[in-house]
Amino acid sequence: MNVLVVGTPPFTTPLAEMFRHGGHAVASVSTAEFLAAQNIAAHDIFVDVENTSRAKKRAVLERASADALVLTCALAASTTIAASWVPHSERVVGFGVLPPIPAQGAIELARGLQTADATWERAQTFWRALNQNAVVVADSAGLVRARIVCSIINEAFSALQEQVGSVRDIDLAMKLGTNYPHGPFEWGALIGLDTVLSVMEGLQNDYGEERYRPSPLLKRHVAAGIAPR
Amino acid sequence: MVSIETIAVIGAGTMGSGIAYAAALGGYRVALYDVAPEFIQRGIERIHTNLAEGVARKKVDVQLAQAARQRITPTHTLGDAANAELIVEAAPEQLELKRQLFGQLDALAPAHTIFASNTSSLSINVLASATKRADRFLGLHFFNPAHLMPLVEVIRGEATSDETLRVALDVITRLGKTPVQCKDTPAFIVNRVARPFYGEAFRLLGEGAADVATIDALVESAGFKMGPFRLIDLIGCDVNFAVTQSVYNAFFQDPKYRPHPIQQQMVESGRLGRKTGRGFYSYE
Repeated sequence: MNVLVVGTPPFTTPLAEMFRHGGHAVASVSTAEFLAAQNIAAHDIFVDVENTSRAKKRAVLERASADALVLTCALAASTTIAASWVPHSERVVGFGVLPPIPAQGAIELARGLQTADATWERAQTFWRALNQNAVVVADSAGLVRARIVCSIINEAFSALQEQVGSVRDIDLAMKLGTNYPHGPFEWGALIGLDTVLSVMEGLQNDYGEERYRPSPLLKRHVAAGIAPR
Repeated sequence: MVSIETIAVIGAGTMGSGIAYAAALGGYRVALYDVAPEFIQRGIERIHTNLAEGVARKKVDVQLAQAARQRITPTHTLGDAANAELIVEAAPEQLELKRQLFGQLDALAPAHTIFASNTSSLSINVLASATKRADRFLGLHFFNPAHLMPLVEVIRGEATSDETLRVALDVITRLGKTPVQCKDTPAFIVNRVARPFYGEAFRLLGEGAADVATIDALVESAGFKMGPFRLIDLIGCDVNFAVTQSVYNAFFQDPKYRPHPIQQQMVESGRLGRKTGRGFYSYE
């Protein structure tokens, strides 16, 4: 099938590779390229992995093609909210992945309130045919893994802002003290800090709760486009 | 710069004996103190078992283990322990008890002796205020099991001197462990930054986003050695709940640290994890 992937490299690169490996014809474009394009090549499946800002995600989804299956990476917005931005909401299914994305691993799948039965079946078939372990979870911003990991990264930024420890020491402490696979700042760089911030904003938007308030230092680093040191 | 030859460990429980193990293997003479001979005996036995296990697993050299055993002197006299150049307190996590201990030690120990607390939740500045040596006072937070875990959070109080910090960093390195420097703030680095690992997992479970085994499997697929519920069963639901409450209260009920009702239910129904045979999973 023809698959179009739109978003940022930590997501588009491994996913495009995964889809190609599964025998699909894949076009992968950045959000900026997609939004500027006059003509979009015909595709059967539209994969949105834009999570660097809710506004950009919305802009991408508003332009999703009318007759494709839409798979939205439900990090910055829940599947249902993301689907509400798509002209044909019933053709949208959410999924969750977290960089670094392995060639084969677990894909979280979430059904939006609007998702049609046939769409839901089709999405599950698509992921399983790629030999991915499709795990069904309830819909919410960030789904399971990104919600937990981005909340940890956000807390690390709040500790950094209070000068509890250095970037290096906080990363080291989490790897050696509690066996994390990556330090929170290393992980933030792998995911993209703008995406981490958008996950927190998505959660805050969904729940309206203080616990998801993004760290001011995280916001500053995203605004500056500079990694913490 | 004071040269550390003897390390006194105050408290021969799980943490204290783990610290004594590391100190003895690191080449230091160790005075292991506890209030009652039977506590010390149990601590010494634990150290010997751990050393034997280390040898069996070829992680510890036979001769080094033998030398380490001989370097540990048990004592139930605080005055003996106070003669060390470095005192690491690993008493139960109660503020008044620790303050009292440090006050007594301050009167007994020579001026150059450095005091350290292995507290995981109390303020170093507050503990140091029980002594007249806040400049020679700091936190050395080892992780459980202390004889194996490589990390030590070195917590600098307001008054901790540069030299005290240098000596402490040097000792931790000689123990073969990795120090990270940390400001005296509630829960320090690890226990604080790890809160959402548990907190968000409880929220997801409470919302019915997925069941315990699914959440654990997903989290493990992201590279964590153990999912949150498997890990809590290992730590103990009661211990995990106590840490959550302690951090929540230390930050004056900041909602981001709020415990979840599931934690209380688990504890009150006696489903504490592996130690009771039942927690989020069954171990019977």
